[in-house]
Amino acid sequence: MGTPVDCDRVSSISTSMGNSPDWTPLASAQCEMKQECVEVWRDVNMVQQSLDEETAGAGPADSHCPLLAVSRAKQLQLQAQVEVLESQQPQLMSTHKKVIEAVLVNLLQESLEQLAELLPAMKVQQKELSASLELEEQLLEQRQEIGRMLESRLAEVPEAQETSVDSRVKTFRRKIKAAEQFHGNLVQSLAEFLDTHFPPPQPGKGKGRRRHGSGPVDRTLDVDDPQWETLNNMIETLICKSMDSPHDPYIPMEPRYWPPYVEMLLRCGIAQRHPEDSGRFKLAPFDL
Amino acid sequence: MAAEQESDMPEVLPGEILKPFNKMPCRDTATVLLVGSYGTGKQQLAKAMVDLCTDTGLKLQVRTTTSLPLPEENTDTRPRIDYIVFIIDLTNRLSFSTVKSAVQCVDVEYFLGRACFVVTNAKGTSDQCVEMEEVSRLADMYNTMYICGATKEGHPDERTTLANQLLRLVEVSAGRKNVSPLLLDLTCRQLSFQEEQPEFYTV
Repeated sequence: MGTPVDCDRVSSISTSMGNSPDWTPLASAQCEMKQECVEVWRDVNMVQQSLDEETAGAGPADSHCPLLAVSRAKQLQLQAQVEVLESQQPQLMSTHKKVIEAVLVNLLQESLEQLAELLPAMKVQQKELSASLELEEQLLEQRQEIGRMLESRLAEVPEAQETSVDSRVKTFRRKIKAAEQFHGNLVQSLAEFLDTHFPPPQPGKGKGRRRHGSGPVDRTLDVDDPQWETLNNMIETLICKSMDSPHDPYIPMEPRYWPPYVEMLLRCGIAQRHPEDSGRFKLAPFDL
Repeated sequence: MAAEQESDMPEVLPGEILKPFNKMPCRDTATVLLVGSYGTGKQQLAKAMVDLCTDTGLKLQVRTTTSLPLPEENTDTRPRIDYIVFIIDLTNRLSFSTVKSAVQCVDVEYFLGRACFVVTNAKGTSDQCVEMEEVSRLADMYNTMYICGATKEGHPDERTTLANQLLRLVEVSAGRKNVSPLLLDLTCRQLSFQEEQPEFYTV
């Protein structure tokens, strides 16, 4: 097994040493190598001869159980290889300077080629890795922010619960106040709206709306003594009655209610008559 | 030696058995022997392998034969055979029987990584008359690997791949790489202990 390798070495070395300027060391190196080769070849020939003598009796694989023969042969060869490897002394390469130089140059060139092949692949890999690294860093930042937010929320929650009753009462009071304010605003705007658009009919030349025909001009009334109830008040009464006593939200028809307004409320569906008693009416149940 | 016994197989004389280490190796040369009956695509495979070698500096010699043992006349001029490829065509019953009789004319040394079986037409077409199981059984009996590939004109890429694989094996066998063929043989085996097949089916 050694011959082909040696021959290869010789050929490669001679090609790399071909153009060296100093002739004598080169020539001596070549002579030395050739001598080595010749000796090794002689050894190989001797080994071949002894091999021929020893294996003259070997035969082909047994036709009935070839696996056995093959396995046995494998075992023998492996044992032989192991023995050779164990008993082999490390071989000293020739100490001639030129030879060592040439071998070194060859090895360096080989590793240079391999590294050059490796370089683009490594560059690509590095690019991919840096891209994925950036991505991961971004993700990490986002998640850290989320973590911080969650932590602050978490810190808030137990504090809010610790100040139990007082703060809750306070918040409720605050909410009630706001609601009341809103309610007041609504009522006020309703009153303004009704005053501008649905004022109570005035005695004499009333300012009431004449759409449904002229309101009864009550000449019997004094100018400053309006007896008709404002629509605002009527609606307020209706609402209060329906809120205060939902089981009996009816209010009786009063003479102070101007009938056209009552009719208008009934017709718009804001109020409804009592089914049995036409003298009573209620706010229509819009919330049901 | 099976010299004068009555047996079904024809007798094989000791001088006809191929031996890997009969002759001295030559520098930068390798010789492959393709064994397969007619129609298995040996010539095309040989050409593919030689084409691959033209610029690698390896002088590859490919010899083909339809049966072993090889004729006596050429024994002295023939170089030493580094690698043997047995080609089996799954659509050709004769190729299988040829290979079966050929493996008996080959020295045991060749089955230690210097031979392999090549199976062509293994793609499950309906005109297979040789079962893949038989081939794998044969390969297991001789503890040698087998490669499935194509050697005919219709599959140039597969043929090139097959030629590449064989070339790699041949180079190791010829001693070009500093590796023992047994090592390559090791890479084709599963080293885990496999359970007996019948156990799969007992439920």
